[in-house]
This record gives sequence, structure tokens and C-alpha cells, in this order.
Amino acid sequence: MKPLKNPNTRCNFCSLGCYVSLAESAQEEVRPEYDHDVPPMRKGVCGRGNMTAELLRHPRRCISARIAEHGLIHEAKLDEAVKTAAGAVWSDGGTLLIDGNLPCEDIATAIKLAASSAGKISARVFLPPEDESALEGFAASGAKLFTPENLVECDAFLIVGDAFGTHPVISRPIHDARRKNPRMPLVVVDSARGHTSIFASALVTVRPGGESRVLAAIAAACGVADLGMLAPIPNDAGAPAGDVANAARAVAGAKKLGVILRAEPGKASNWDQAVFLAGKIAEAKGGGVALCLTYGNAMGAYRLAKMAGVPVGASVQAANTLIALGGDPATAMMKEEAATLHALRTLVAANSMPVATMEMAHVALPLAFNFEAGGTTITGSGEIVRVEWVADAPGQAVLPGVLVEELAKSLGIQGIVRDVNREDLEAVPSAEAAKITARPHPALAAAGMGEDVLVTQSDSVHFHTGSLTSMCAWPAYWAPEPVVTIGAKEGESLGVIAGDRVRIITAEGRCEARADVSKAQPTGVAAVSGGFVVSRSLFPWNSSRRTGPTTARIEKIPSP
Amino acid sequence: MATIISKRVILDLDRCVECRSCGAACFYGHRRQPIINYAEGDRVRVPVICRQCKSPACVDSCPNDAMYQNETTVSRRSLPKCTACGSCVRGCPFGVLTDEMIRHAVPKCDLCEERVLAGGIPLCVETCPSGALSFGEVEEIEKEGLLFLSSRTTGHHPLKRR
Repeated sequence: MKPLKNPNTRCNFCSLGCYVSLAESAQEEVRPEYDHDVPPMRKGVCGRGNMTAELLRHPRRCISARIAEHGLIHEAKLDEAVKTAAGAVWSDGGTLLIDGNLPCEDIATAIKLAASSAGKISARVFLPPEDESALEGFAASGAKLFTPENLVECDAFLIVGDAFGTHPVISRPIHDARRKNPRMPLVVVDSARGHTSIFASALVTVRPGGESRVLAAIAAACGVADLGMLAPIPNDAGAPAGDVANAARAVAGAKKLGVILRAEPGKASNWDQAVFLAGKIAEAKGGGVALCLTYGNAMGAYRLAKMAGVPVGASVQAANTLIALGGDPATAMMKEEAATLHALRTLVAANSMPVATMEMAHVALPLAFNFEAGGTTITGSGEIVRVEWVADAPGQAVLPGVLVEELAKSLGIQGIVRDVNREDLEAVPSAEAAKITARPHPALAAAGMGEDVLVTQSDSVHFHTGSLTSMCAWPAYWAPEPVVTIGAKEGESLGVIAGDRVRIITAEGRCEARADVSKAQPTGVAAVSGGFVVSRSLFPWNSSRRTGPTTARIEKIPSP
Repeated sequence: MATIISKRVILDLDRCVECRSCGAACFYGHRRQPIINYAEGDRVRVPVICRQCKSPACVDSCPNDAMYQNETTVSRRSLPKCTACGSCVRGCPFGVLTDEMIRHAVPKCDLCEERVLAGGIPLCVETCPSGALSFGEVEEIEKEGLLFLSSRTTGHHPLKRR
């Protein structure tokens, strides 16, 4: 094992970009250490941050290239595998699907390659749909971004979604601000009772999908005009009128409002509208927004894609060859699109771990992790930060940008070097507000007899598809399967107590989960862990990029 | 003469967001062994970290001397001597030890003794992202008589009293 080069870096597994130092034990295990010189607001990392170290020397790392030919898989030299990939692109043309969680340098280099390929390669940047929607809404709002340091200076907070549950580090500046002023308003708008709601001074429990309705009512109370079709709906805010009025009063009284947003894919179908409204409220109250995104570099990927005019989202339609640079399209892409992966003439996958796409690829290329590469990312607060080069990549694994350079050489394209323009990173994209305000609030989700409205409730360990985190020891011990939280009344009628096994059945599919029963969970709403492939497959947005809740029937599985 | 560790881990319930980051840090810092137990109830899932009692009930109740208090006042579990009888689990009034933990060869919380003696603080406190865990002098806690009483502390919650 090679020793660590530079222990101090940033965690890149969500958009907060926390400081982390890595230390090596006598057993050559790597785990986080803590640098006491970092700003007090940024101390500590969550369970997911602790897990990053495990990936560095994970026994299942992909360290060599692999080619599947005539039904046989054989290991190959990296340049041989790159030439095979380049040959497929040269003869058939292809799509380069760039994962939005790669460092900006790698994303920019891949975009450059597609632009220089004379139409042979079309580039797309993949972002989770909730991140893409939230960033679109934020760009249209024109609001300011707030860092944790800015949040401490706020005199009131509005939190949409369960930000403390998924991004626990964001709770520290809010606790610090409230320690100074215990009477400080903390308004939480959520459709399931998550960890953030425990701390709310004004809790608005919305009916699933009703976030934008509540935010429109608060925006109107704060004097935000020109909401178009997003104007508040009288007598139907999707939440008890008294709670909405209380929340609106608390927010309207703020001089500097901190807005924190966590878009869950299974909670609202219109995160662009909800984030737009939240941004407008922050602007009206002299405050700013901190986005708690799923991807660590979602903001950077979004900016680079917008600057280059590259489409965001996964699509392999009409492609014979797909090069998946990072990410795991087989589990992250929508169901129908993922099925088209099997029809591809050539699937080239590059990843650090043996995720599903790597297993089915014709050409599999080993990638370095972000902290084995070094690079630039942009946090959900808009800070441009460096993920430092902590260790060398094992075996043949290379940086994604270097892989793109090699691919360019094999295709005879000159001048492709791993780099990014600082101006592209600093350019804040704008989106048309009229497009967002031209749509009305979506209808609220309603369940039939014997059904619940099913929403997702992610935690700080499994965020996205879980294809990477499920290979790590801590999440496998702590959260090996999805948990579904139901209300006490449902629990009673179903004869389910906490710890029982249940089956969740929706129009899209079914899965088994461990039940949790809570008096606090709103009646008629069930919340399932979002970061599992099996739980994502329960939702219709697994087939289209439109997020939102669904309806489900829950059955108790009798114990053997 | 051995140094006595006079600090203990304190949980501020008004800041704990129930993220289990303390458990993850402890897990990766102790050769991937799940040492921290969590008090689970409706809307409650807080870490129950060993208080390292002055006269520990887990040590008193152990029939095999597997639980012992060392010269730095840290209570430890000797795995070779332990017969997994579960007496310590019944003895601990705070729910720090669990049957599952005892059945497996998992050591109990050692207050990250080596780190603390080297001038550091326990990993769970270091990692706590919300600032709920802190490391303070036992005398200060004793002077107060109680751990942090918070809006989330119920009358019979074991975290109320030392």
C-alpha cells in the first residue's frame, strides 16, 4: 500500500463539501481525522463522510480494464481497452454520458472532447432529477447563495424538506444561531416527519406534493408579487390554515432569512417551482439560500453544462455506443432508458467500483476516485473548492479526464487536456422565471381506501441509488434494507409494530422493507428510504424524470 | 502513576439530529466494530455513550472479571475472559451495553483512551456534525448535578441524570 500523499481534502459525497482529513492506522485502514484549524462551523463529518475513507482502499475496487468479446470477458491493458472504445465510437458514433459528480476539470474535458469530435460524439451530463429541478428553480429565482457562515448571521430560518436528516452538517450553523437567540423562528415545511421537524418552532406538515402551495402562501405574506400561475390557492394550501399562517408570520418578520432546501425525489413533482418560490422569499427577506443537493458537484456540473449548451439528463436514444463516464446509469437512469442499455451495440463504462453498469459493459475502464485525482467542485452554497489529491489511484485506475485525453488521442483529436476555465465555474446561469410561473401548482397526491401516499425519506448514508454505499461496511451494518415509516393508526390497523417486515405494493412494483411506526408520522402518509434501487423502483419517476409521490398498499409479512 | 481521565462525553439533546455519525466514526475508528448503542423510541434515536461511571455497575455485576476499570478510570471489557453471560447488560442502568454486542466479540466504549491520553478527544465527539457531543470535565458535570436538561428530555430519560 502506498502511503497517503496529502491527508487534507474535502468530502465530495454531498453538496456541503465538508473538510475532511484522512488518517491511516497501523493496519493500513484509512479513516477520517479532524483538522482543528478548519472554521468552527465546518467541523465534523456525517456517516457518509466517514465512509469515504473506506472507498479509498476498498477490496472490490476496479483496478484493471476489461473487455467482453464473443461472450468472454478478459482483462486488458488500459490503452487496448481505450482503443476498443474509440473504435466503436468511430464506426457508430456515440453518446458520452458524463456523471455530474465528477470534478469540474473532468466534466469540462469530456464536454470539450464531444465539441471537437465533429458530431461523432454527443455529450450529456447526468444529474439526479431532484438536483436538476432544484438548480433550475434556483437559477430562475435569482436569489443569493448562503454559506454556513452566512447562515449564522440570520435571524430566522425556513427549511424545506428534511435537511438535517440527509445533510446533518448543515444543522450546526442553525443550532449555533439559535443558541444565541433561542426564540429565533425555525419554520419547517415537510410532508413527512423527519429529523428537522423535531427542532421546528413552526412546523407545517404539508400533504405530499403541497410544498409549493405553502411556499406561495408564505411568499405572498412576504410581499412577493408576480407569481403568475403560482399565486397562492385560497383555502387549499395543502396544510392546516393555522399552521401556514403561523409560518408566514414568522418568516415575514425576519430581517435576514436563511432558506435551506432539500429536494427529495419522492416528495414533490415540482421542485423547480418550490425552489423558485423559496428563492423569492429569501430575496424578499434580505436573505439567501443554501441548497442541500444529492450530488457533491451538482452545481458545478449544472453550470458547465449550461455554459456549453450540453443537455442535462440521461438519454441513450438512437445511440449505438454509450460511454458512461462515472456514475451508474443502469440503476440511476429511468427504467425504460436503463432497459435500452441492453440494446446498445457497445457499452463502455468507467467507474471505480463494480457497479451494475460496469458488470454489463462491453468495455469496462477503471477510474480513480475524486480524492485520488484532485479537482474542483462547487458546493450547494456556490463555493468553488478543491478536492485534494489524497492518494494515488490503485492499479490501472486513471482520472476521468485522463481517460478522455486518451480517448481523444485514439480518435485523432488534438488539443484535449484535462482543464477547466475559471470563468465557466464563476458564471452563474440564469433560467427563465416565466417558464416556471406559467405552470399551476400540481394536484395534491391522494390515496384510495386501504392505501397510503408514499414519499421518500432519505438519510445521511444512502442518498441516491445506493449502488456505491451498499458496498461499504457501515451502511451495510446500519441500513442494509429500506425502512418504511407509517403512522400509529396505520400500524394499529395493519397490526404492524416497529421492526416488523412489510411489503410495499405500488402500480410500479413491490418491495419488502422493515417497518417503523411513529405517532408523529402524518396519517395516510408512508415514508420509505429513498437510497435503494428497490425502493426507487416503486415510484413512477423511475420511468420518467418527473419526481413526486405515489400511492401504495402496505401489507404485513407474517413472521415465519 | 497513571493519568486519570477526568473528562466524559456529554450529549446535548437540543442539538442531536440523530444522524448516527458518532456511530460511524466509532465503527471506522475501532476496526469496524459497532460499539455505540442507540436509544430508539418514537421520534427518538439518540446515542447512548458510556458514562465511564465512578463505580461501574457493569464491572460489579461481572462474575468473571471480564469487565474491569483500569487505572485511568476507563471501564473496559476483556474479550478472552468474557463468557457472554449478559450480566453486564443487565447491570448497566443506562443501556450502554446490549445483548447483541455481548454475544459478539465487540469491545465496549473505551473513551478512545489512546487518543485522549495523547491530548485528543474521542472520535464520536470529533465527528459530531451538529455539535451535540462534547467532551467535558466530570467535576463540572457533577457540579451541575445533571446533564443538559433540554426541551427534548423527558422525566425518566436515562440521559437526565449521571
